[in-house]
Amino acid sequence: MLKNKIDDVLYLVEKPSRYIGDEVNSIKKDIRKDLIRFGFCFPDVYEVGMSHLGSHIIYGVLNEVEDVYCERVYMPWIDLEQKMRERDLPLFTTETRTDIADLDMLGFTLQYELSYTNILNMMDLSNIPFKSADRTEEHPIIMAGGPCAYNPEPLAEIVDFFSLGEGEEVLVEVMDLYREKKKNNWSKDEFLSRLASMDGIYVPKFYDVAYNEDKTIKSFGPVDEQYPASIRKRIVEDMNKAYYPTHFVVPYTDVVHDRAMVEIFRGCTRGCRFCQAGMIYRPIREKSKEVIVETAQKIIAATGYEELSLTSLSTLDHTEIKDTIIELIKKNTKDVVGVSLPSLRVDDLAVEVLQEIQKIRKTGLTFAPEAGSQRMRDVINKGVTEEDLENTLNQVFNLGWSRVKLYFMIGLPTETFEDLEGIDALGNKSTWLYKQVPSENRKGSVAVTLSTACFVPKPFTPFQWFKQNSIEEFREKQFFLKDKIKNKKVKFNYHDAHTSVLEGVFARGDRKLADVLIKAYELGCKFDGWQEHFNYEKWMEAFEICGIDPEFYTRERSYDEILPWDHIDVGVRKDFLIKEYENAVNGVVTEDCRDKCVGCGINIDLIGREC
Amino acid sequence: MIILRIKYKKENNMKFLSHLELIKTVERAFRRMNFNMMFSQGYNPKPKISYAAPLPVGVETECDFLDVELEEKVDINEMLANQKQFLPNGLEFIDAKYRGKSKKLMSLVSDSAYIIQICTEENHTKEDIQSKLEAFEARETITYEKLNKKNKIKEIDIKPLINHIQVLSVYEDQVIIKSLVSTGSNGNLKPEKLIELFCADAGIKMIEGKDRYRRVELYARDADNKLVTLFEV
Repeated sequence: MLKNKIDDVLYLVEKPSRYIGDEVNSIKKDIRKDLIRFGFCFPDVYEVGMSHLGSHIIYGVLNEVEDVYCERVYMPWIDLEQKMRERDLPLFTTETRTDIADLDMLGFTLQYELSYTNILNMMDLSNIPFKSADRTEEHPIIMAGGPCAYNPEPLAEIVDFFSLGEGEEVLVEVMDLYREKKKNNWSKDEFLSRLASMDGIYVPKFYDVAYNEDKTIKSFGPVDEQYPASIRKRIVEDMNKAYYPTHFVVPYTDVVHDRAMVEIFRGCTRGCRFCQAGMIYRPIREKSKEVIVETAQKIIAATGYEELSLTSLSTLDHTEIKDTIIELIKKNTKDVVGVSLPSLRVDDLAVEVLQEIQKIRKTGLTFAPEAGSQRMRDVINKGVTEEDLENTLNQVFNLGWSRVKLYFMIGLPTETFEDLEGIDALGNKSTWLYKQVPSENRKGSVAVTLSTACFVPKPFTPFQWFKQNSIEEFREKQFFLKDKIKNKKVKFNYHDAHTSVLEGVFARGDRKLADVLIKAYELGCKFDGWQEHFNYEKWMEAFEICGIDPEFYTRERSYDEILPWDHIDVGVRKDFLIKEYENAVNGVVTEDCRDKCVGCGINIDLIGREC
Repeated sequence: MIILRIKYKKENNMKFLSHLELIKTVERAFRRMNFNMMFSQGYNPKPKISYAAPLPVGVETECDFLDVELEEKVDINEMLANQKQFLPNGLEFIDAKYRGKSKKLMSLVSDSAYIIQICTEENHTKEDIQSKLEAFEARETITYEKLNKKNKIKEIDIKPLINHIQVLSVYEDQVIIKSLVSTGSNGNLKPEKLIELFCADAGIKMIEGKDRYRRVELYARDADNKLVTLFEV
C-alpha cells in the first residue's frame, strides 16, 4: 500500500514531520464515491506553503462544502523526491497519501514566478502530462490562481483554467459546476466551456493569439463570441462577512511563519508605483475591530499558537489599528501570546504600536523605505520622508531596540548612482542616530542591515512598461554599494540578479514561454527560487534551444503595444497606470487615495460604489 | 510550586517528530487545553516544561515523561478524559501526578527498555539469534571507536551500559529483540548503536533503513539502586 511505502521512506529523509499530515485541525473525511476530490497544490516545500495565508483560507472554505474534500499537496524536498523516484512512488496528498493523479482537480497557487518548474515537477512525479492538450478525461483538471495568475499566459498551455482574484467565493461555484459535470457526465471540454462564462474564470484554450513580425502581440481574443473578451477579477465585497478560518492547521515542523494569522483588511490606498499587490488587490476593504479581535481569540484558542500576526499589505493603515492592538495585547498578556506585524512603514504610529507590542515579546524590527533618496521615493510614490525615517529610528532606538533591518529596491525607473548613495547614507544615519541615544537607554551595540532586492516590473503596475535592469546593470549597482558601504555596524545584503531577471521574464511573459519552461525543467531546473538550486546556465540553454530571447520580455514596452495580460481586468484602468508612470518619471507624488480619490477606476468599473 | 508530571505515549506518525518539534507541539496542546503555565522571564518567555529523555526522530515511546510547571492546578482525571480533542493522533497522556519539588527529570533517568525490530538479509531462527545474543553479552568488553570533540579517537566500551538483552521472536528475516540499557547523564547507550555492534559481532546482515525502535520502559534508580518508575522517585 502506498501509505506504508511512504512511511518506510520517511525514515530516510530530513524533517519527516513535514510529510506526515495529521496535524491538529487538519481535515479528515470519509472517502466516498460522490466526493469531489481537490488537491490544493503549493509548488514549494511544506514550510513555505504552510506559511501562506491564502492556502489556509481556500483549504477551509472548500472543506466547508460537504461533498468536497480539499487536501494539501506540497513539493517534496530533494531527498524525498529522489527516494520517491527510485521507488516509483507518486506525489501524494498530505491528508490521505493519495496519488494526486487520482484526484478530480488540482489547484496550483501561483505566488512566485520562479516556482513554475516545481509545478511541472509535481505533475511529473504523478505522470501527469504537462500540456492541457496532452491530457485526457482520466487526468485531473488543472487550475491555478494567486497573484501570478494575473498574467496567466506563460502557463496558458499547461493550466486548464485560471481563477482571477479572490478565490473563496468563485472556487465554491466551480465545485458546484463540477458536481453537475459528474452528475451529467459532461466531458472535460464541456465543463471548461461552461466554466469559461463564469465571472473570474479564464480558460486559455478558448482564446487565440496572433503575433506581429517583431514578436509582439498582433491580436488576442476569444475563439467564439460566447466567451468574454475580457476577464474580470473576483473580489469579496464585505470582509466582515467573508469566510475566514479559525481552526488553522498547526504544523509540527518549523515553518517560515509559524503563528496565528489574522487578515485585517484587503487592498491598499497608498499607491506605491512598484507594488503589484497595491494595484491588484484594490479596493480597500477593512474588517472591523470587533471582527478582528473575535477572530484572533478564536484562532488562538483553536490552535494554541504563542504568537499572533496581523497581516495585510500595510497593516498600520487600518483605521482602528491602535485600539485593535491595545485590545489584543490586553486580552493576551496573561497567556503570553505575542502580537507581531509584518514590515512596517516608517512613521509615528509605528512607534506607538511598537511600544504596545513589546509588552509581551520583543521582536526584530524591519522597515521598508524602499529607496535611498527622497527623489527616488517620490518616483515610486512611497510617501515617506527623510524626517519620518529619522524620527522613527530615533524613537525605536530610545525604546531599547538596537537592531533594525531596512529594505530597499535597486533598479527602479530613473535611478542614478546618487540615489543609490542614499542607501549608504541611511545606514550611516541610522548608526549615528543610535549614538545620540543616552547611554542608559542603549543595550549593546547597534546593528543595521541594509537589504536590497532587484526591482522586477510587474503587470498592472505603472511600471509595467519599464525596461528592467539587466544583470550587468544590477551587478554594477550592487558592487557600487558594496564598495561604498564602509560602516562596520552596517551589514549589506543583496539579492542575486539572475533570479530577479528570470522572474521579470516570466512576470511579463507570453504564451511562448511554456516551451522554455518545459525545456528548462527537462534540463533539470527546479526550486529556482532557492539560490542553491537555481541554475542560470541551464535556463539560458533552454531559451537558446527554443529560439527565444529572454531580453524580449524585459525590454521597454510602448503604451500602444498589446500586453500579454491585457485581456485580464483587475479594475484599475490602463490610462490611470499610464498617468502614474508619467508622474513617476516627473517625480510627481500622488496622494493616498484614502483621503481623495485619484481615479484608478476601481470604484466605477468593479464595485459600482465609492471605495 | 505546582509541578505536574505526565507520562506520555508518542507513536505512529508522531514518531517522526524531532524533540524540538515535540516540545512545540506539547506547548501548543497545553495552550489549547487552557493550562495556566508558568513562564520563564526575559524577552522571549517560554513555558516551564522539561523532559526526561529526548528521543531521536523515528523512535516510538509508550513511557516517556515530562514535567510542566503550573500557576494553578488542573483536574487530572478531567484532563486525561478530555485530552483526545486537544492532542494530535499518536500523542497521548497515559497518566499524570502532581509532584513536589523534584530534581530535574533528565537527571533522574537511568535506564530504558526498548523493543527493537530489525530486518535481516538472511532468514534466522529464534534459537540462533538467542545464542548469538548470549555470546555477545558474555564478552568482557564491547568496544567501538569514536572521534571525540578534540578530533581524537576514543575507545568506548558499551558492555557496562547493557543491562539485559533478549530475543522475543524471529520470523524469517524479521527479528524482534528487547533490551534494557543505560539512559541519561550517567551513561547513555542508543539502541541503534547496540544493534549495530551486535549485528557486526554476530555476522548478521541487517537491511539498512528498516530497523525500528520503541521505548517501552523508562526507569530511575532508588537509594538501593533498584529500578523504579519516574512516578516513584
